[in-house]
Amino acid sequence: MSTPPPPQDDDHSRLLDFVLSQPLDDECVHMDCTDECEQISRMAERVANGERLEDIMPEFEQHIRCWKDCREEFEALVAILKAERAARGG
Amino acid sequence: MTERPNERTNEDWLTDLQPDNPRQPEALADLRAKVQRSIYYYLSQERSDLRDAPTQELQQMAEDLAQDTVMRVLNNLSYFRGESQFTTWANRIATRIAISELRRARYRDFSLDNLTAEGETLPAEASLISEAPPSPERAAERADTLGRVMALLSESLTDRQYKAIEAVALRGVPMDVVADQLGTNRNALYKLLHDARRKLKSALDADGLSVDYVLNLFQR
Repeated sequence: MSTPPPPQDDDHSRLLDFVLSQPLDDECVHMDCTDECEQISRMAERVANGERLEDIMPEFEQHIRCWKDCREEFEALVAILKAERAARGG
Repeated sequence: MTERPNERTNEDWLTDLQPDNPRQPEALADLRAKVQRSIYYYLSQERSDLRDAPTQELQQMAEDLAQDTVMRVLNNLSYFRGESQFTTWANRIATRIAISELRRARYRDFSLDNLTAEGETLPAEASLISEAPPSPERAAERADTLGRVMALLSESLTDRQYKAIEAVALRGVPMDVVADQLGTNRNALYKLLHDARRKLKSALDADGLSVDYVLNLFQR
């Protein structure tokens, strides 16, 4: 892909949502999504074990609602952990 | 996913992976095998865009990405504090590497400059989506408000902030790709976007546009 497609109506809606309606609290923004962050690994373990992210850490749930890259990575990790659990018979 | 029992505790992993430990080669091989299984599972089962990719190709990708993951894990060992399972932490690094690689491959020829050069990226007169067509009055109100918002975007943000917002929020370009293009990293890009959003909200306030009003106007 050389260039994403031109913006559509949905894109403008997403832009306004991204800019205006997502949380601006610092904890959410400064959440460390780097390799070193174990908090995210721990949350993924708990979600894979059946807990709800919004109950464990609502600010992170908001964070990944806002940042789709983080959401994609978190969901991938949860999927892997669930598959491991299933393979172990858990 | 075929899973072997995890026989090492977190402490075992940290000890065994030390360069001077005679068990390091075995630990490295186990770690590589572990993350390779995870990555292969992810590529083959969780990625609809790779559904038609040949198994051998996915296996090769998983092997290469697992190698990168092991190197990254070794470089970051000192940061691991034991709050999660070591293998979960390693899998998190693996997923980040794998997904980032896929994003970069997808946007291999993407350029932020081209994005802007291709013109009307933030058209103020665009009609926004709605379940039912808005009344002419509402459509005009929306067009006017969107024009003001877009003008404030371009006036109040730096060129770098504007490009980042445009790419991430309007075009849905992944953060890794945008960060690469801006010569920064993802965490710095979060901060850049955060500051941009804060600035825009202040500009809206100063212009007499409340956030609630704008969102309500464009509510689907």
